[in-house]
Amino acid sequence: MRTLATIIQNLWFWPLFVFASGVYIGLVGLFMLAVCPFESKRRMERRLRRAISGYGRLIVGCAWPFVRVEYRDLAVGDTDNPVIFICNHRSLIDAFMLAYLPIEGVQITKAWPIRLPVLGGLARLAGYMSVTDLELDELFRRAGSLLDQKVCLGAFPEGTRSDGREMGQFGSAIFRLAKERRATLVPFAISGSERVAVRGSWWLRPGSIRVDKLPALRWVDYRDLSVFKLKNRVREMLISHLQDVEGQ
Amino acid sequence: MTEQELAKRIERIFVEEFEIAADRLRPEAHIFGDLGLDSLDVVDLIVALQKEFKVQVRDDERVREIRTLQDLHDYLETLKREQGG
Repeated sequence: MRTLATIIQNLWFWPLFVFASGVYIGLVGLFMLAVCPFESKRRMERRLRRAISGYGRLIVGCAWPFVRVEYRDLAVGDTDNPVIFICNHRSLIDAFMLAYLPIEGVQITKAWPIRLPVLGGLARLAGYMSVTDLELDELFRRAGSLLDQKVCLGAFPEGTRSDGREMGQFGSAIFRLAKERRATLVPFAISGSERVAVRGSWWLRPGSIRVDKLPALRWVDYRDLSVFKLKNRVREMLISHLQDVEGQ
Repeated sequence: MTEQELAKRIERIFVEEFEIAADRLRPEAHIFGDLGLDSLDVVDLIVALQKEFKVQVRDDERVREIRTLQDLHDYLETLKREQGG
C-alpha cells in the first residue's frame, strides 16, 4: 500500500513536471530560434547542451523536498583532456544526475530517450547519440569529434538499468573509444535512485540519492590495460565505492 | 591434444588475455553474463583462439551458438578435428 507521503509526492511532482517542462522547453525553444541567425553552429550546440543540463537540474528541483540529491566533489580538474563519465545505472532518473556537472556534455544512450517527442529532438540536435542506432564506426566518429571539441561524454556501460544494487556487466565500446582518444575516464557513482524511481512504475517514492565523482583515470594510468581489463577496473572501482557508501 | 590439455589452454587465454580468475572458469560459466565479455570482447577472444589453436574461427556461423565455456570447449574440439589439428 502506498503511503500518504508517496501520494502527496506524486500529486506534487507530476503536475509540476508537466508545467515546468512546458514552460522551460517553450522558452528555450523561443530563445534558440531568436538567436540562431546570429550564432555559429558550435555556439548553438553549446547553448543547447547547457539548456539540457539546466532542464535536468530543474526536474531534479521539482522533486524536492521529497527527493533530495547529495553531490560530492563535482569539480572536473583535468580539462585539458577530453573526459568520459562512466556511470552505474539503477534507475530511469540516473541520466538527470549528470546535469549538475559543470561541463559541456552529451550522453550516449539507448535508442528510446532520443526518440522522445520534443526533448529527444533537442537532445539529438545537441549531439546526444544512441549506441543501439549507430554503427560502431559512426558512433566512434561522432563521439571522437565531440571529444576533440572538449565536449565531455556521459555513458552507462551497463546498457540496461539494474533496478537494484547488483551491477550489470559493462559493455566495452565506450572504453575502446576512450583508449583510442586517450580520454580521461571519471567513474560516477549513483546510489539511492533505485528506491526513488522503481522500474515498471511511474510512482516516485521519497528518498535521497547520493552522487559521487570518483578519482579520474587518465590515459597514462590505464594505457597498458586491455579494454577488457580497463572496463572491469572501472566497474570494480564503482562496486567497491558503492559498497562503502551503502555499508554492504 | 587431450580434452584436459584443451581445457587448460582455453583457461590460460581467459586468465592471461582477460585477467579472469581461474576459479570463475567453470564449464557452465556464461561467457557474457558470468564472465562479462560483450560482442566486441568476443572479437578479441576469437583472435586469441585463432592464434593459440592455429584454427580459422572468423566467419564460422557456429560461433554464434556459443554461450558457455563448455560450448566453447566442444566447438574447439570439433574444429580441431575438422581442420586436422
